Amino acid sequence: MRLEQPITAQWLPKLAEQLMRNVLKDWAEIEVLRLSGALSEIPPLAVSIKIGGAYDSCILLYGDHSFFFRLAQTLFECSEPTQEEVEEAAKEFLNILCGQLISAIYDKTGIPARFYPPCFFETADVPPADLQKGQRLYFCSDRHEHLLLYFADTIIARKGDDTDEIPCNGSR
Amino acid sequence: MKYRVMVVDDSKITYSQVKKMLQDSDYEVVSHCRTGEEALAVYEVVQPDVVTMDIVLPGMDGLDAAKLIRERWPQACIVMASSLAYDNTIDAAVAIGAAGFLFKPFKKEGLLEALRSAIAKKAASNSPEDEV
Repeated sequence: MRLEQPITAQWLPKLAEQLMRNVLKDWAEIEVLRLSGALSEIPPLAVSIKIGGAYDSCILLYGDHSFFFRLAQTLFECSEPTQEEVEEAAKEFLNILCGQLISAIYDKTGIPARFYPPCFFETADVPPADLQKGQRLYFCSDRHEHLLLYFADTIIARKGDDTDEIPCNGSR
Repeated sequence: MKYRVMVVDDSKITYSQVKKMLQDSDYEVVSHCRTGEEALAVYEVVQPDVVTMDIVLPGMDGLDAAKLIRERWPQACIVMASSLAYDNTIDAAVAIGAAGFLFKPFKKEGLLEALRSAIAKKAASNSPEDEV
């Protein structure tokens, strides 16, 4: 597949980090910073989204309950969101993040994809250790809530005659 | 009299935000559907002036739902909404006769402008042709 512009193994994590920070700040008034190291404990809740089309992938966001609760408080403008509202907020956030990520990948590479309605679950159901090889980005919020953003490596990049290949693993 | 808006989105957040953004405007949300199938059933009853339709929905996607609504009610005025903001998606929306496209997350001004533009397009297409 010929790409309009090559992408590197570093481009995608950098883009994901930028989008996480921008969307959370502009949409939910939450500031996050990317951590250089891994988290000692994986946050207990997660939301996932599958991507399909010219490439298959998946994105998972693991987060502390307090983070998703705060997200719901802001988006629903209420002090005590229900569990259903907490899940809705998490899913809508990942929906927006994923759409912007796929759109940016398309702008750079010309490769289209779509995504499917997200799912919310407990980390114990899909622990990160069980996930195939991919990118893991760790974040801490302005209230010390922890996040792990995972996405599968599924895109092949080309630079002229060289191939800077990120393994294609397909979706879970 | 306010224009009647039907919101089709599986997210209660989008519905709640649209409703809030349209307070004190010329538009009021009269219905919220969470699936394309529901939208088809409710459209017949509600007959809104304009529909905002999310593309990614459980079951039937928003583009298919919009296409079916337009086939049954050719005068239907539908604004597609999505966080997917690239040519293929927009082209697909144009192909099914969508009156506009909203990128998520949208702001109040963008929503109002999209609705105004969609209503204006609908009014222009309903105008009788000038007699020769």
